[in-house]
Amino acid sequence: MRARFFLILPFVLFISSHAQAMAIDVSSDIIKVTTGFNGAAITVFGNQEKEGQLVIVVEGPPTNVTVRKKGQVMGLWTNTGSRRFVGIPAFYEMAASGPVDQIAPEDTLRTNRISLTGFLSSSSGDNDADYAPALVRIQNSHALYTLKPVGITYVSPQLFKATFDLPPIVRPGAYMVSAYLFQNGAMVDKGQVPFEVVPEGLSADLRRFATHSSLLYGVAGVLMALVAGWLANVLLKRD
Amino acid sequence: MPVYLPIAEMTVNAFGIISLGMIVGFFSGLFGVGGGFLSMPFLMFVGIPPIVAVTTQNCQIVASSAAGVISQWKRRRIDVPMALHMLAGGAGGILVGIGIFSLLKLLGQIDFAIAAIYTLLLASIGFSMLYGIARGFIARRQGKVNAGENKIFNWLKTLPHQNHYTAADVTISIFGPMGIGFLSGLMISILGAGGGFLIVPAMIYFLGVPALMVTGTSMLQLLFLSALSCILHSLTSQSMDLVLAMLLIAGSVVGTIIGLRASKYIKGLPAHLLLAALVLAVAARMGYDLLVAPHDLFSLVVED
Repeated sequence: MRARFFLILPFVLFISSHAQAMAIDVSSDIIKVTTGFNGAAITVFGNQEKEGQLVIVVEGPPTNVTVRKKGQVMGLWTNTGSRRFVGIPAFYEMAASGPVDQIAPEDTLRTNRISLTGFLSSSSGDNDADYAPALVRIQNSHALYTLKPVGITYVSPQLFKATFDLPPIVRPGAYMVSAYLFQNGAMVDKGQVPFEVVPEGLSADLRRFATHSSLLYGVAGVLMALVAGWLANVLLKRD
Repeated sequence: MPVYLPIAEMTVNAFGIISLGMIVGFFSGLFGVGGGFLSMPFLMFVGIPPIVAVTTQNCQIVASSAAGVISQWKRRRIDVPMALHMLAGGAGGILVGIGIFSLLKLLGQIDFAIAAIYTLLLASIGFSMLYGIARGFIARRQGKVNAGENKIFNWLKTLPHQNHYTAADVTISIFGPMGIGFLSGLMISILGAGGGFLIVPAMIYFLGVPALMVTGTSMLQLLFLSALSCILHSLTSQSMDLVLAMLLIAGSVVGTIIGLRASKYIKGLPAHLLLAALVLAVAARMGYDLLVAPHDLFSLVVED
């Protein structure tokens, strides 16, 4: 009996201490991208037992992105340079209870992926400092990256929530919500909850069809077009 | 009404795309042109990736040329052997075109190439239309009729494999139709347009095909070429968006019916001028992007 108690004690202590500092959850763990999909909102809510500043990050699946830069060649504007970014998140938004640079030092933020600059270093191509900011700017214009963290709302001194908007062009895949609790610049607790963006319904079936049996898919498209053409002909005759 | 395009991976307004299909159909009904030259630039402005725009446009051309082929077939205005020879050249054109497309995409120059080719082609076609209208006007006044003979026609007469095309009633080397087919295949696989603007006059002037037989014959080869290009693009890059294609086709069927009705009222000189103006307007819009400094120097391509 006594031995058993000592066996589970560390776990009890771990869970309780963990739960005491901070715990989070998301409004839905699956976002379905259907044919009528026009973006979605995901709300992160949580409980904070200790005092401190919060930062919440929502990160999308890793992607490879090429940024191209236009220049003038013989009077015509065309792409003249490029830089490839490997393994950068398809989506990266942040919420914070205050200005992030005052919550924790730069190094702490970067090692915990609470900064975009860390991701953008793994790239190759033109050595032009303009590419990384351009990438962030364009992703931001598509509502995929935040330049300025959104606020965290406190429902009570302990209960907080933050809402993130996923735009219609959001990439399907595994997403991760990470919340960090800081006290005097040091991280005291961290919580993670995953969610998934899944294509579903007709659009998902079509995509599977197109990638897995592309020959049949192409032929099916042509056949449908032929039927439509024939139908148009019948309609025209009746006209 | 927002609709998510599964292949283009973006949400578009369904009514916007149907309207585009209707406008394209309207003009193809009104002028008897394919209309690919209108929808390709528009799809690219909307932000559909060029490869998806081309492949989907191929699918839409299958529908429009099928409708045309059925009605021309009934009137016996198709020279099948000539269409087959054009098709043989066209298949080669598509294979080369798909290779060129992939290369340009890899180099990041595909948008530039499409815009540049469209600008050049449409501007020269638009101006030659205006020139033709002016010359036809003068010729009619002076009672002259344009003779169909020219250097290329005579040169094709000297090439080997002369063949008599019975329906078109013309004897010419099979390399003539094959060459024009090759050009058509290149255009359909790179530009997503059938190139009727070039193919139809080329068949009349260089092959000596009677005007009555040109539309049906070129449409038959276009039907097979667009189907082939659509299937090959779907196979190599999985880039055909069926949802987008169906929206475009639905709109264009309705638009064609309206256009055909309108063609009873708008014809002759005003119709020719309108078409020339439309072609030049698209050329100007495409050329604008090449000549004027872009709003944003940077663009972004996400890999699959």
